[in-house]
Amino acid sequence: MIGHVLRLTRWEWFKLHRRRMPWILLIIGVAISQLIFWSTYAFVQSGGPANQSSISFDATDTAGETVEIEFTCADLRDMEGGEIPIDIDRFSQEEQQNIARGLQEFAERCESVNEDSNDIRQALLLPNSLTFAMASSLAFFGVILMMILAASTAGTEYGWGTLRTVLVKGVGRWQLLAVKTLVIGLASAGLSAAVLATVGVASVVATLTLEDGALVGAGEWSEFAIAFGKLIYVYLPYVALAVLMSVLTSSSGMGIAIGVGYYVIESIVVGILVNFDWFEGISNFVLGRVTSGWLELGDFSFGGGGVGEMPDPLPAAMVMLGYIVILGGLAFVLFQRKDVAGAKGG
Amino acid sequence: MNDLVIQTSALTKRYGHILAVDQLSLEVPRGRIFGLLGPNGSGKTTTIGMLLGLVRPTSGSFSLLGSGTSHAEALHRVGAIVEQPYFYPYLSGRRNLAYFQGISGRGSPKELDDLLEQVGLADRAGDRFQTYSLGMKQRLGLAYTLLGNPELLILDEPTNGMDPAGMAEVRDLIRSLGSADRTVLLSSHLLNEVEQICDSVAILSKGKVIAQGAVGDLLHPQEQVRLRTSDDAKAVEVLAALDWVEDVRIEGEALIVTAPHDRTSELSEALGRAGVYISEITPLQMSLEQYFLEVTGDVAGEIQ
Repeated sequence: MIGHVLRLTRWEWFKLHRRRMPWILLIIGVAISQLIFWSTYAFVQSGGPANQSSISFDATDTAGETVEIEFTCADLRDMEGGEIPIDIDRFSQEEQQNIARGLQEFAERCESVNEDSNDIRQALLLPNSLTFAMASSLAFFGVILMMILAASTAGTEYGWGTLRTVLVKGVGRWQLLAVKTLVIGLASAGLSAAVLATVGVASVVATLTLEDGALVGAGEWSEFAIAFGKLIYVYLPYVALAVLMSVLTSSSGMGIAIGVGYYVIESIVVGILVNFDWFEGISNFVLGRVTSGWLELGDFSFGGGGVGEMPDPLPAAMVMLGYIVILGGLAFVLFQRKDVAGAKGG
Repeated sequence: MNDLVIQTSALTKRYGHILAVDQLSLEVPRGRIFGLLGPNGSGKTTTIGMLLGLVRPTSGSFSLLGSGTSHAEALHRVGAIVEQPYFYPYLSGRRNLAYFQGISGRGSPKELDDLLEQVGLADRAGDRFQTYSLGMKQRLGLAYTLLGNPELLILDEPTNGMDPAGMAEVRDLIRSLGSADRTVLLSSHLLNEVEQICDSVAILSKGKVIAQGAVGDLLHPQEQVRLRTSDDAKAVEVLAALDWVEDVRIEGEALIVTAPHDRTSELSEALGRAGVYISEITPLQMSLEQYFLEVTGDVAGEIQ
């Protein structure tokens, strides 16, 4: 039995890796994660939030002239010996005190801005860069790509009519779907790992160009490993949804459209409903919310539906398990019972 | 060993209000080339689908390769193509076969080479399936059905889309495949194909078997010859007097004589003695088409 399943798995992989689709998904995944990584890099190199946050006010000098004074957090950070880089003596004592008070308040604000700058900077360095890539790209785009992979792997057999050709060889239906699901899971993990590997390479390159080498090694590898495991678990209910829709409609196209459509529309609807009190109880059972709650890690907030208070990770994981069992179970029952027609072309 | 490789009992499939297969009882003996003949929509493909586990019967039962064999086990000993050969378009013919050989867990690379050679696809085996013509796809389908040397072949319209030369070649191949050890179930709407290839036939119409038996038996053992003579009127007179001649009539410019084929020389001798000379003798047999028209009437137009 195990030998049979292993053999089917091997041959399912034989088919899958020769298709263009998983390679196209990999390219898209790499492109998105690299775009986000290098945009972050450019932002950090241009000064980050410290350059964006500024204070501006008018002060009147002793000659009665109005002077516009403007500072960014980066200016404050770069002040040498705490010396304000303006000719402060041109202002009256009273005005000097006003300026000092304004700058004091701004300096307090800048402390948290500088912390954010530091966090963003750390997101470029291993292994935080990998966790950040999961949060910023794979937790959203990755889910979509994996749904495409799942619906395509399960649904094209209907479109091409090859499901008939496989089943008449005596391959059991549940075994076939189980093997397909297993291969989709493995391919999802493989695709995610490959995307993260390219982020890792980018991270090393970026590290070499950053001024502050002390930040190399930001974060913990164990945190990254846990986050990766959590990410793969997040894929599972969505993979089950995409497979179910493909089996239900006997079409990969419909499986992708319904799966991805649900994912996107749900996050929009939840974003609106989260403002209503009555939604609070329901929100703990909405897929997008529970995956966000499950994935929330440290300084990074993962996934869609991240508005408002997230469900706790453990209850969220249980709800996700419920989705996996129900959606996956329905897919198996349908796959087992449905009559199989010829090619449908979709 | 059970002598019936396929046995169905009151097998029925209903799609909503449409009755696709109606109480079908079919018996396919081992080692024969069995034809399933019927017009489009007569229930041939649905029947095959049920036998192969692709379609769930609404009611009734069937056994494949004997009642003691589980359906999954039996399918490992069956090679089948339903309607059209469907393969992975992005894989080559050879890789498609390798995949199906791989999932069944039997066979060797040499088997693939031999099969591709046998169906005449060896030269194009490395090309993607999507580049194949319909005829080539049918050939690959035949190679697929032969993977693992199955006991039972189920072929649904195997010459569909082939040119005449290809059809003849495939028919020869199918004939050579039927043997004491192997049974072929051939579904077709082509009368002459079934007539040329099959030993036995079941004729389906509107989901029911309307006739079943050996092709020779179904064609009636009524033997006739057509004669062209120098004097038809006198020939009728002479032949009608022979007690072993069942019937004689003039049809156009010839005589149709119902008499055993092995006594044709005696016909010639009797006419010669009466001074009537024969210019042409042609043995006649009722074609399956004629028989089909006789038993189905209104649906015969869909059969070619």
